[in-house]
Amino acid sequence: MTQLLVETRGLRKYFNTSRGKLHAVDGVDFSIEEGKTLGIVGESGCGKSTLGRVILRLTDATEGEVLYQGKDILTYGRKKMLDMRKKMQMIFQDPYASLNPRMTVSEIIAEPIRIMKTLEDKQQINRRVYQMMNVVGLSGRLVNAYPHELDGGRRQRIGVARALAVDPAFIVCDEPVSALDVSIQAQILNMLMDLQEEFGLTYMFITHDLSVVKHISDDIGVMYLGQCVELSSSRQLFERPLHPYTQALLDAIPMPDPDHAMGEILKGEVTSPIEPSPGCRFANRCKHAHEACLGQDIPVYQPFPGHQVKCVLYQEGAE
Amino acid sequence: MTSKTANWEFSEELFEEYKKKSQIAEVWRRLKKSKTAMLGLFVLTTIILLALFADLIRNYQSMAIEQNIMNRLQSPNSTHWFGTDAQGRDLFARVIHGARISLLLGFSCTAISVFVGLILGSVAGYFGGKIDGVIMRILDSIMSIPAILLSLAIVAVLGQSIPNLIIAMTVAYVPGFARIVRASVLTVIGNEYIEAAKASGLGTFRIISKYVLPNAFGPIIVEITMSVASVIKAVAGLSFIGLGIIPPTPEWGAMLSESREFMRYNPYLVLYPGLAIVLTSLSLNLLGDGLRDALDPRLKD
Repeated sequence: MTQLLVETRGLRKYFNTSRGKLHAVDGVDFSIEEGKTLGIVGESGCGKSTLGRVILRLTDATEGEVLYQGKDILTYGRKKMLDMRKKMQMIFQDPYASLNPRMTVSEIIAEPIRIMKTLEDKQQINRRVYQMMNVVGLSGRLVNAYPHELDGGRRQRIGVARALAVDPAFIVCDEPVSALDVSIQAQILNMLMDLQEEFGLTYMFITHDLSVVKHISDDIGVMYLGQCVELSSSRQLFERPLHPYTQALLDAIPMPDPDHAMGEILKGEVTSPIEPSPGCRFANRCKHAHEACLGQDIPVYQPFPGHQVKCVLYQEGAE
Repeated sequence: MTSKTANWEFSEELFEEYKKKSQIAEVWRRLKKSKTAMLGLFVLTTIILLALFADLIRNYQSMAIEQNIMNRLQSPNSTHWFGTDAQGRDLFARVIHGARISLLLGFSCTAISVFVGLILGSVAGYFGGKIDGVIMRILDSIMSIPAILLSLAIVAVLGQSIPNLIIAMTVAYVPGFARIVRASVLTVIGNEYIEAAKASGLGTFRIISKYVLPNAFGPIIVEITMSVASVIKAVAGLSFIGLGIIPPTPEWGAMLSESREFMRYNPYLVLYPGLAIVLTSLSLNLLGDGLRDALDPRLKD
């Protein structure tokens, strides 16, 4: 049995808005084993990016725990957290916005090293920067280039090098390829997978693109309006999706086959995440919805080992 | 695997080359490319040099202060390059000696207000929420008082002197700067690189000084260059009601208001001090524009 590296328990993040509390992340529990990749999928606005940010403490959680090797990092003070950041890094979504336009490539990659003081000596830092650029496949003549001089793929490589520079164990990838050309997406994805193998990294991979998540993930969590509605291994999820929302998502994947019948397309709007009423959040778009779905929060069922789903259809003894 | 196919060697020179060219030298190299910025720098330097060496060019006491009614209201000629004023004082001497006080007031008020404005504006913009509310409401209430009235009241309370004048002007100018800084900070903090900085473990102060302000500096520089001239004009206003510079001390704004009754037949009396103000602010403006572009690596070459 491999070690659990990161675990969340009852993680919640509410934002105060003028119309009430916005439930961005509402009670998410999952765990990631060391060296594995957990894919988080969901449509825009379902709280998947917020989840990543809360785990790295870029925004403060409202409630819950984030365990790293069994210790709750949300209770850490400033200094301890700085140490923690050496272990947990992030790759951002938009390579055009995630690099400071006034810093050169080498400055950007050296920044976390300098702040966290993993290396002190200037020449050592330079060597590390060089090494990282090499690892992500950036040519050495770019050390003094500015981000605006480079294309999206190269910029995202800088983002990856910056995350890797302090030798982390866990990386949150927040839609790292969704802003890139399809041809470059594959390059970056393959690079991320190679790096995982080489450095034994653990990923939490946030995306809305199911084909990407299938390609890279060991486990997949499906999020809908701040909640994790289904969690299972990647293979199981694609072979036997349980939650009606997951089924609808998989049906919506375009197939390069003219005879392929499109499944039912979801109708209706996403319910507002502001002060949602208790019950299944998906009920108003779900064809199986009935009274049992409303009024009370849906517990997590486990109809098959290692396959969790938040839906009353799988209540013990039902059907 | 990428790391096994290293096609370039680590070279200390690549990093060293950068260090050598870095920062100030690089900005200067780019600034030199802008003709307008160099013109601005040249004019500004000339004005500052004239102010610094004013004593060597024209004697302060005998030329700029002592009245000489025999020579009053002479048009520009070979002895009095800019002519003489109603008290027979050499206008050229008064313009270059006046530069000292005008530039001192203009630059020091601007510098202090920018400094305070940067702190207040960036704190308000970065933290938002209650801190933002408190800071901005206090600044709003200062702004709601007309600047000239506010400075006037402060000078009246503190007494008439150049340091007090600087304090009075600064108080009046801080809210404007703070607002502009806050607005530019707000446009920057939504960017992901601010979050990336947090993930890299940077503290708030370093995020503001290294990530937020450098990227928010464009509008601030423009405001700075405008403000110097505006301070000089505001001091002229105060001198006009007798709370600014005490006559016979020469100061550009004060000279403008002193000469207003003779303006119709001796227009050169307002022309030269006015020109001095315009040239200072224009050259600062050109320099500021060039500096803003030179500081922005995106506009390189």
